[in-house]
Amino acid sequence: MKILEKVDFYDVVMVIYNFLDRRAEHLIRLAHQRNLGTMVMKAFGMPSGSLGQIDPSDEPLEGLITKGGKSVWQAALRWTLSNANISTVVPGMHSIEEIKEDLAAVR
Amino acid sequence: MRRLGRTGLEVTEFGCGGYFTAGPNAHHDMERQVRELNFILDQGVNFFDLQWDLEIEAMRRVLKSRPKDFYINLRAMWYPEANRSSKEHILECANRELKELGADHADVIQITHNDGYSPPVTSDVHLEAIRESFAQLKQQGKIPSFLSPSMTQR
Repeated sequence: MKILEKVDFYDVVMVIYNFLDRRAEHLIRLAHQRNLGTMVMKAFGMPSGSLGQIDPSDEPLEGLITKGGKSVWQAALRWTLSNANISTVVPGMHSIEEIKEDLAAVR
Repeated sequence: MRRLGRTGLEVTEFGCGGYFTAGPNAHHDMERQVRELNFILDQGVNFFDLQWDLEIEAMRRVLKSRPKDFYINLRAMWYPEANRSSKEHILECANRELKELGADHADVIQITHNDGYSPPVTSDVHLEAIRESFAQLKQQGKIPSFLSPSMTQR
């Protein structure tokens, strides 16, 4: 992709990527092919600070929740991390309780 | 653990982003922030995206009490509209944050606009400024790896 050639000094790319917004999917694949790391923001599908708006009936969360017995947040995080080309997700955090819930999603 | 591309860093799937210890929705209790950062470290999280001055101060205190066996991302804010878009500006940001952190090096630095969504490619002049500042930080052994602003526009 031309953009990655122009900014070849970046070792890691930051993208928005979640179950509602998959625009970065192609870029994530290209970054991986170029041996770049990929860091994800907005993994919950919305700006930090408005975490109460995920609709658990949204596809594909409904299926993920049913299968894994996880909360909507955990399902959203797991959906993003199911892309093996993602290096890490850095969600905004608001409490120890949220940290525990997020950690439980990846264990 | 997952590999952070060519940086070679092995990072946890889940890193610590902003807004928790600082940011618009955060409390401003420094002792509590230090406890929270130590809690996150105790859970094995090894990547910290420090976005705010208070986070840097809390991390500085954490680094006094435990070995740095984790990774830190700093950031240089990019304001072309305010003439803060030069090599010198990036180096000043990096050096100031390292000083505030009480560290001689960090692992990654991100160039980002204060809205978090600045265009990843700006003018050729700006690209050259970013390229030169990264080369200097790497050559000085201060920061070896570089993170783009969000490549996905809001």
